[in-house]
Amino acid sequence: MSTIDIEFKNVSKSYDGKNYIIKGIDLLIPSGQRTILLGPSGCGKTTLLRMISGLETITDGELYMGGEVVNRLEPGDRNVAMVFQNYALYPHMTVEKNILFGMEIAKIAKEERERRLVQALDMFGLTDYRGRYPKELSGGQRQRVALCRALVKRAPYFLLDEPLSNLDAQLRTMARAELVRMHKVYLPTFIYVTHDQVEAMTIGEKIVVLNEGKIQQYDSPDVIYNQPKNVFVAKFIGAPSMNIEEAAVDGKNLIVSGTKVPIPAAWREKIGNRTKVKFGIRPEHVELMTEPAGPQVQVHYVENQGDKKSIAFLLDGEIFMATAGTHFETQDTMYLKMDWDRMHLFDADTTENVGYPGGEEKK
Amino acid sequence: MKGKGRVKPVFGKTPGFWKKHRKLEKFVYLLPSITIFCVFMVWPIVYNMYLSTMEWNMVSPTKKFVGFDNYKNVFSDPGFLKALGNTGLYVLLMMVFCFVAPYFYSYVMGKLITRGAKLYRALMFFPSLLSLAVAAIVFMWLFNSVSGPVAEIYELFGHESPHWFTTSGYVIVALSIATGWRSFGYNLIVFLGAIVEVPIELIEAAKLEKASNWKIFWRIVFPLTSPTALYVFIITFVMGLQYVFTPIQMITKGGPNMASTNLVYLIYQYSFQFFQTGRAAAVAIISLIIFLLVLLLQNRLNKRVHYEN
Repeated sequence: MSTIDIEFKNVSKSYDGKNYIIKGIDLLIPSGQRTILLGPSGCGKTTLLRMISGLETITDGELYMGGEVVNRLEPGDRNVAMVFQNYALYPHMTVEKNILFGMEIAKIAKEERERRLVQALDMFGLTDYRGRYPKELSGGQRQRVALCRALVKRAPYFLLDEPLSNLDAQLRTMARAELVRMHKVYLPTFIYVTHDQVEAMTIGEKIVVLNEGKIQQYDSPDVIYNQPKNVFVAKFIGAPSMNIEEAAVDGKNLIVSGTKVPIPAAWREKIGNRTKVKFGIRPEHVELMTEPAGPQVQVHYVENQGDKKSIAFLLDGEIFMATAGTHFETQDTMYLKMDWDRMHLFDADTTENVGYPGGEEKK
Repeated sequence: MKGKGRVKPVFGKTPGFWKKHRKLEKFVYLLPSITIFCVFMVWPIVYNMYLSTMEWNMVSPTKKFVGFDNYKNVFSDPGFLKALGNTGLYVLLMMVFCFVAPYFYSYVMGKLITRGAKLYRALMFFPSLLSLAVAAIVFMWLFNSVSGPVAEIYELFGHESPHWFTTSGYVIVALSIATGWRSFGYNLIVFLGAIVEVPIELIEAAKLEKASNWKIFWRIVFPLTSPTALYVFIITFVMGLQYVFTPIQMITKGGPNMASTNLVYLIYQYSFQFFQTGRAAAVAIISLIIFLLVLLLQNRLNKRVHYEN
């Protein structure tokens, strides 16, 4: 097995020839890495995954797998293993039969089938359940059976379509760790579709953020979080999401809601002669003070997350969020203090990033 | 009926009477159903059994008890054996036309083709709206060995069309095709209903394993649709026994030389044409036993069928 990269070259998808749900995707997914396709529902992430599996046809462009164009290759010839969102376990087969099914069709020797079965069951703690039917298992167990079934195929490509979305929060955390562990053992090219940014950040080595059939950003979780390329990525990643506010550029200064903030020297060239930008700051970099430190705001509502609280207030008529460790009451009057070093600036029209924190050193 | 006696009982003197006779009360409620069941189900069977031991011509005021003679005569009658064999053939052909064919066809329509499925469905179901008598007439014309379209096709290839309704062997095929054509669509719709219920992900998962359409059918679609398959199997069996009666009656009258007769038609002939009521009753009882055997088979198969939940 030489290279098991996956490469999309200007790939598009349309069902009616008019509306494209995938719009000219160029993407190289390197082998042996955990790549996450992340985006809101309807962004085309599942379509991309299904294109890789061959279950969805490609309207335009080429898809390369292992250096070969695979546009017309049947799903069964692509050597991919897939975990479906609802697991797609065969209800009339026991756990054991479900896992053996693919290997039987592939005519793998009986001893080898049994060896892989036992190993996979053991790895996911399912040894005692091999004779059970799917309906006799819990959601978490079913999900692990689906993983086992995909795993025993020993395919170089491992595709997962929102595999954890039907699990409760606690199981999901466990399953995330399990997936990463499994990947480290087998190291296939691992492509994972999710709309959950926490899953994306915890599982992914690389994240592809998609929206409306286009790639918004493709980078490591840290870069995606710290240096979002545009307003969409900035708002989609992070909870509560980044505050975005119109701001005016006045020479070397930025005017945000009446406050003058100096623009870092390194950004000025990128900002050029723009007079308006979008200013962004994450809620954790916004503080609410009791003594006058900045603009006066009123608490709108409080979301309690236990360890921290998200405080919503109105700033120039827009909801703004801050996180705080202490409690606030609705209608409390507070003073706003922002950590200006952590601000992001975006173009007012294209919403492309024109400056992010720490950007001075990196570029 | 309980409480302050607001509701006056229809029967009986006091509410106390019914309180003492709860079982009787239930029986009274069930009486209408029991009456209908007895009059239309139990009594005909019992009376039929009684008749099968009698010699009677339907009009004579006296019947003569002959014991099992009717059965003996029936079994030694080559006509009966012919009808029994033909019935088997009809059932077999109906299984092909109305069980196997619509099963595979519905799989293709439901899971393999993406375009035109609705149109095919409507076209295939259309014959089910017609009566069997109409189907019989249509096929009488289609298979007309001189001027029918089938004959013309034969002619195109330089062959002479067989005389479908007057040649032994051919006649059963032709009548089965007529009956099958009429009933195919209904079974197809029933199968289609079951097949579209099979989640597409299961088939996709199997496709990723490089399973052929044939394997997907046998290992996934068939087990998951087996309850429906069992139902269609049974009704097709019954069709094979009964439905062909209409085209036999309309086209061949069991001919040529009993080549197309079956058990049901034989019963009809014995009783209403030859007025051998006892014999007819005996054949009816034998048919009933065959039905019961099929029901027994269904019961056995039912245990091996995969039911969801």
